[in-house]
Amino acid sequence: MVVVNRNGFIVFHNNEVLAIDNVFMAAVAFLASRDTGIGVGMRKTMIAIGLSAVAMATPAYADVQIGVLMPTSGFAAGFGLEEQGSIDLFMKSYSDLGPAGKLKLVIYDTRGEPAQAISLTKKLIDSDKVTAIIGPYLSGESEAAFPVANRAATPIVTPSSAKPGIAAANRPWAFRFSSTTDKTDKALIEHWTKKQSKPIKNVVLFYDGKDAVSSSDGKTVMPAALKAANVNVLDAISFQTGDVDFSAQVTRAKALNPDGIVVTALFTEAGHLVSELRKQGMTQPIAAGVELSLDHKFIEIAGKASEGVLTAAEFNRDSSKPTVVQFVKDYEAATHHLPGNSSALMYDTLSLMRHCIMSTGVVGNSEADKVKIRDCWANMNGVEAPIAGAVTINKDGDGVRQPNFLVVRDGKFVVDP
Amino acid sequence: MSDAPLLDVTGVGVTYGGYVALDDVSCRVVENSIHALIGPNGAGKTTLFNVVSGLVKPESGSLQFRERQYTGLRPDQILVMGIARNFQQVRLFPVLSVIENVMVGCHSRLPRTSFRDFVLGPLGRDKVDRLARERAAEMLDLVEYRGDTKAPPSQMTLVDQRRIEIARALASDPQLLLLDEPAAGMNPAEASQLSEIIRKIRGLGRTVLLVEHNTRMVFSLADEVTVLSAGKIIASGPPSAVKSDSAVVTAYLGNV
Amino acid sequence: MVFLQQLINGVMLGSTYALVAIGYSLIFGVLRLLHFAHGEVFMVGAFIGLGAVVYLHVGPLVALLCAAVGCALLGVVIEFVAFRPIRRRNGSLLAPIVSSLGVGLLLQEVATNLFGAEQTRFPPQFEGEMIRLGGLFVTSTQLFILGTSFVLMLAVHLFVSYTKYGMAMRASAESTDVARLLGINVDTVIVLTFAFASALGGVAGVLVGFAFSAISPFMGVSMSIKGVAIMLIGGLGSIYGAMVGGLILGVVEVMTVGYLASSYRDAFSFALLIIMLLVRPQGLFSGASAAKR
Ligand SMILES: Nc1ncnc2c1ncn2[C@@H]1O[C@H](COP(=O)(O)OP(=O)(O)OP(=O)(O)O)[C@@H](O)[C@H]1O
Ligand SMILES: [Mg+2]
Repeated sequence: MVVVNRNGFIVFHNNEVLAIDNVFMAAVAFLASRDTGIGVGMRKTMIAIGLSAVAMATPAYADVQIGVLMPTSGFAAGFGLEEQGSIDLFMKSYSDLGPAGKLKLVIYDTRGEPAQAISLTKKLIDSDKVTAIIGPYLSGESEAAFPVANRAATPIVTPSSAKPGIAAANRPWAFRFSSTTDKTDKALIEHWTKKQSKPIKNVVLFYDGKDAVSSSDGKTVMPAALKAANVNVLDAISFQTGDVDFSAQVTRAKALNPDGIVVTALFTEAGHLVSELRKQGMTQPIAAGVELSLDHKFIEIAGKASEGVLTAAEFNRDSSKPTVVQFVKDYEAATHHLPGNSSALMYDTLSLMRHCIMSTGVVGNSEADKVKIRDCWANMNGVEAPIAGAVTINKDGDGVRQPNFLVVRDGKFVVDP
Repeated sequence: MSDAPLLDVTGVGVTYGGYVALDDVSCRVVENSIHALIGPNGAGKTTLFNVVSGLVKPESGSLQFRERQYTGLRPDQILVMGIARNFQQVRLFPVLSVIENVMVGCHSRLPRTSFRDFVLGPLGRDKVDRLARERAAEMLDLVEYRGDTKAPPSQMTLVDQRRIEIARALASDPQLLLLDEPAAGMNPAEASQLSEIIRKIRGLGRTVLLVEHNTRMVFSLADEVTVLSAGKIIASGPPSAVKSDSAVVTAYLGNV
Repeated sequence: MVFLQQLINGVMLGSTYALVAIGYSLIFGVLRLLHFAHGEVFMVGAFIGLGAVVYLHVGPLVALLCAAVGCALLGVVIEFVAFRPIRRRNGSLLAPIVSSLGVGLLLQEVATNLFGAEQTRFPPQFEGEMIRLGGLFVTSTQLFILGTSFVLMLAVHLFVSYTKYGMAMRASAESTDVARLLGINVDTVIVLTFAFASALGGVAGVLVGFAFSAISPFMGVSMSIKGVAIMLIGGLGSIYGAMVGGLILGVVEVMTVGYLASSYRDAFSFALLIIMLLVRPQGLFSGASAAKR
């Protein structure tokens, strides 16, 4: 209900009063249930009541209001907290829109749940009357939320969701800043196989069967990329978001003795899996899809086992590009942590959203303003974003960019030449 | 020793939702006697046992044991004080073996488990356990139980189960033993064997308060008989006197 | 060979389940109550162990001891705050359930506020050395976990079979009334049961932390559900049922993942539960059979 970030600060969704409300609500729900004697199922509902209290956040009398959906609690909270760092940083310097007044953000926590993403998208459009929405984070959430925004003729731009086809299915209002996994996976596998001294003919593929993008990647996108590189998949082994014991999966893979291992999973599960792979003595090279999201938590969880793992990401933290250097410096100063891939994606998406508002003369939250923003994203071609550089959006509404390849060396993600 | 009774029940009343189960019941049990409590079905005998052993709190009246007022004490405190009982409906622990059932009866008489015993005891079958096992075997011997001691009690005959329950009650070394229809379901030979056991128990210096429907057994065994009918004491005295009391004959004996 | 390795994996997982489930069974036995916050006690144990390792720089055994003592105290506090007042007032049957759910939520909230919502882990040296046994391999940490679990299970067995209070615990589990009439102070037994069960839960928390490096305020939630399932499989309130049931569930989960797919795992566990309920509703161990050792 109340999210604590890595620095130990309590994030009250930018609204302290609400946090008090929320605790109060939870207490009321708890006391009510005590007297009426409500059973097990109530536990979830009680949490839900507490959370929806949070969701009633941020009343803002904005000149241009943009909704933001991201997970700041639940299993994907790590991503949301990285995004939050970028939002705070961005709003400090760029909330002024000149003649259009101020940029106001209405931020809701989706908890990483598609159902929540749907209802919060409706809420942003119907009650908060936002001009556009940034988010949600996970592909499963975007898949659920995009049709809602598309029907309501409101631009929606996810910074991060990477599962192929989800923006294409919701033309003309849905976009994504990120590029899709079919492009990044193909590039990653090409790069990975080229680099190995011992040729990779057979791999075992591990995927998260519950997370939308990891699952679609593991079942179709990654196998296609491997096939294109003439690599045979011996076995595709699944696990579920939230799992911590990977011994059975790894024992099963070990028996097949592959030349390499490919993983499509979020950072937590990938961390535990990689740790177990090395623990069981599998020393094969490992490639991990973009779902890993360059999160430092991956390295924290996997420890030494993470050394040498190759992944792809849009963000190269070690770039010498001045805007990137500045971003990394400011972000670290503000949060005491290095920015991750999610931070970079959010920062660029916010920048481009502001660019669209200012360059097309958006002044408020009218239908015409929504159309202007939509057209700006749809026709984006080589627009300079502070971190990613030139950004182009293709006819499917997807970002198109070459990913960077990063490898873990001495406990850090560094660019793999 | 004074002639104060071991157990002194004064003016006890118990009602169950308006139904008067015990009405102003008073009864004195003399030390080292065999005292029988008789009466028709539903008279309130078991209820009186429940009151004396602390399972039921009386609404009025008082209880004294060795001249000490103990009304309101918890059942476990009453047992520690020296009153133990069996049950009319046998209530042995089904998942414990016969010997373990009796060992649980020793609980209050075992030395306090020291921290060392608590932590290290399980590893080396501490002395407390050995003590309990020896005592339990002794009690089973006393009640002339000859069956398997490691098997669960459900495998035993009802008669044996009653013996085990008496052994379990004796294991706490009580001064007063409450026996609720211990001979129920026994044939005459078994009943007279039980009489002998009860005498033996008295011979060890204990006092027995006995509820029993078998009048032959009661009148040959008891030093003192109290008759309860519909929650009231209608007679009390030596067997010969009670046997000829007209109220008793109408209320109870006549029906047998 | 792969099958044997999977069996080892399953027993590993199952032995930690068993420790949690034993606690559930002990408490259910004496109180006839599902102690839903027991999963959270397990979680607190993991954090205590982590704290001891990180801040006091102790070894694994001392960490286990810290967690055991800390959780025993926590369990006793829970009994005094959440259960005893309700028992005293003869509250409704649902009241203690809601109360234990509340305690569980509270502990989760407190842990989230203190340690954050994200997963943390023990320092890498706790992963242990790899040991090869023929074609099989285990880590020293795994052996430590297995060893600790089995020693504790043996200790539980000896405790309930051969000590005064262990026996009193089993007697109270059968009938609190009869136990009282035999001179057992059932309130003391209940406090002892909470302390004992919670200490086991805390140890299991640390062991799971060692094994899977995934300590979070929410790690107890699924453990709670598994604990209840294991208790139904093993027989309500039977500690031997909890031991065997925990091992069975661990092995079934691992085998499903190893030979089918992870998405079937919960389905198989529930199928197992349903089959048990149909074929042997009293569970593996119950009634007279539990007395046979
Ligand atoms: N818990 C109870 N609730 C309501 N009524 C009860 C309860 N216990 C006993 N009674 C009633 O109180 C009366 C006395 O019961 P009690 O068991 O003391 O009789 P008893 O003399 O032991 O009879 P018996 O010879 O059949 O054992 C009976 O009418 C019985 O129905
Ligand atoms: Mg009776």
